Amino acid sequence: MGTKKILVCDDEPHIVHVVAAKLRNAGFEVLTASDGAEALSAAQQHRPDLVITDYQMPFLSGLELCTKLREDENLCDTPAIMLTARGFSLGDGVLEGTNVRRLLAKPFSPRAVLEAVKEILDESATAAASSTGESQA
Amino acid sequence: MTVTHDRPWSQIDDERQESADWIASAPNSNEAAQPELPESPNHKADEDPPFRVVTAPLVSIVPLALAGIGVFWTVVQPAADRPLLGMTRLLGVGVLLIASGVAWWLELRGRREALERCCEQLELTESGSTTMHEYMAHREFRPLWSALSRHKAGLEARLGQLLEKQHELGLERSLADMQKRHAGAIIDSISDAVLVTDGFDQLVLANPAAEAILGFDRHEAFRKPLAEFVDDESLQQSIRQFRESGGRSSKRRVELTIGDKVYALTLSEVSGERDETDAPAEHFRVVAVLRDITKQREAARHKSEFVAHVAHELRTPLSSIRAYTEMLVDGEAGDEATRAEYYEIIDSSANRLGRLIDNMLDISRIEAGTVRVNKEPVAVSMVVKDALDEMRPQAEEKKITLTDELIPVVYRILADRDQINRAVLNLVSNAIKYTPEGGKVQVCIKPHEENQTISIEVSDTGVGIPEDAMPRMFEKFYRVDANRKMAKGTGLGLNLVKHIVETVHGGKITLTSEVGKGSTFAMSLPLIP
Repeated sequence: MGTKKILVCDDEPHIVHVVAAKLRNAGFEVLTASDGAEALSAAQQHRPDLVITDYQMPFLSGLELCTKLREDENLCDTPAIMLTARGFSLGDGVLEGTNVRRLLAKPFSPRAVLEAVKEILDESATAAASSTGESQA
Repeated sequence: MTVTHDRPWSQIDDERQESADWIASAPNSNEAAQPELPESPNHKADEDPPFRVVTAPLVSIVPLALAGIGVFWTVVQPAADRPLLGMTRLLGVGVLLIASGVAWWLELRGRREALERCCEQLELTESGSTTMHEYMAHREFRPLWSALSRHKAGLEARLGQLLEKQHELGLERSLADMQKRHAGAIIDSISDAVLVTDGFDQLVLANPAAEAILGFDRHEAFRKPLAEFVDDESLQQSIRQFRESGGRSSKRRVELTIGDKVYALTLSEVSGERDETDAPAEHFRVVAVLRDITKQREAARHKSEFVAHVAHELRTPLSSIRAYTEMLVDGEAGDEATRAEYYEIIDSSANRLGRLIDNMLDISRIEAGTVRVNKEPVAVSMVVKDALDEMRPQAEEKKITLTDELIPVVYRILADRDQINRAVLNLVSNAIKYTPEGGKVQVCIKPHEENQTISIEVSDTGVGIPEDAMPRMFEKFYRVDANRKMAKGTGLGLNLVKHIVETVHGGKITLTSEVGKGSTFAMSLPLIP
């Protein structure tokens, strides 16, 4: 299993910078984008293993980005983590139809982001292994 | 006889009778109450002389004379003329009988006449006249005279009291009428809708606000069931439930939406209407007051949106501070250069946070009218020069040419120097932020003598503002999406500038812009005459 590719997207460069640094230090390959539209094209081009996105961004919001990722046949299984400065005030069902697995409130801890990334990737790996096992059986 | 104020009308007749009886038994006991006898004969007496003058001698003299003749004929005559004795005695007895008859007739006539005079006087007194027949002055009429006089005095006193009472009642009534009109006018002037319904949910009272809000004519709707003229079912239901619960319903305050407006309905019972809680339900009156709270609702919504927005804006720099601090704590910054970079990011984020809080407080103080303003004559060119000096390093960093077109004439405005300086700084800082490297930012002063104003214009060769975004440029937290990446701001700068120029200094801020060519912000302020 090669190095996992993670796409980090936020319109605040400082946030992108710090998340990317944390993940790179942990051995991940990191791609960055500064708005939703840029993130979508980067995702389509590089097929990341996981997407970390801000909720509120110009042009294409984090929610719209995740909805589009889900709709894309190549990216529909890509899990996502959403960072939001709106607290947990996102209404129920807003994240339906997306692959958002975790919602992290700003101000966030880079440690918590890294943990969430590892957990999600482990879950995906387990799911993939079991589905492979089932298909082999 | 005593007459008190409290005696009802019905007792007056009895009293009159009583007083007559009392006077008959003790005619002279109340000397003080006796009025003076008439001193001169009045017109009535002239036309009709007192019968007593004629009848008194007649009543006594005629029968006496006749009786004398009778006695003479009976006693004296027989001695002289014996043969005629029988005849004479018969004649004497006859004369005596005639004399008795005449006396009896005269007495009857006298009594009848006296009675008639009394009746006339009574009728006269009854009619309210104070005139007294002269014959009432005669001794025989004295008891009647006294009785009538006392009765009259009593009646007059009673009449006086009643007239006084009537006057008092009249005053009380006009006062009550005036108070009623005042209360009505007050209820009519209330901007809240006021409705009063009776125990059958029929309209008893409504004010013009109720007519306007609920759309009915109060005169037509008077005494009609609520359901006939009010469409809103929840209002009908609330009033009915409140009445049925005897005012014990917990639903005293309800919110209603009528049309596109929100109303707070407050229900209460008319106090003092019922003496006991067990009184029949139909006596229960309900007062419904509808207050338009649409604006408060909107304000509350705006406030909560604003707070959410503020929280978002505060969290952004706070996120950087927290994340970079944690990185430093965790030793994730491997080398000195990275550590220095992180420290600098933390520092700038903290500054941004501080600015954001300052701007927010300033705007809120200006909006609430609690900002401290020290207005003094300020030379416009000095304000501009100070701002340019402060911004020059920032412009040089981006290789932007910062020029001014100041004029030698000193124009003064009455302003708070710090605030105007802040407004100019904000505009110049924005111009530098949204102008690409190598661009130009120019500040110039243009006096408009014709309307006694002066404008400070800040122009740049920056990215410009799309036309659809122009009207929203001065809104709090509004940022042009396309230009977000150019610079980080609080989203409050232009809103603060607008407040400083327009709210605090009574000026005007205008904006002209073209995408790709640049923008010009002009603040126009009144000159000191």
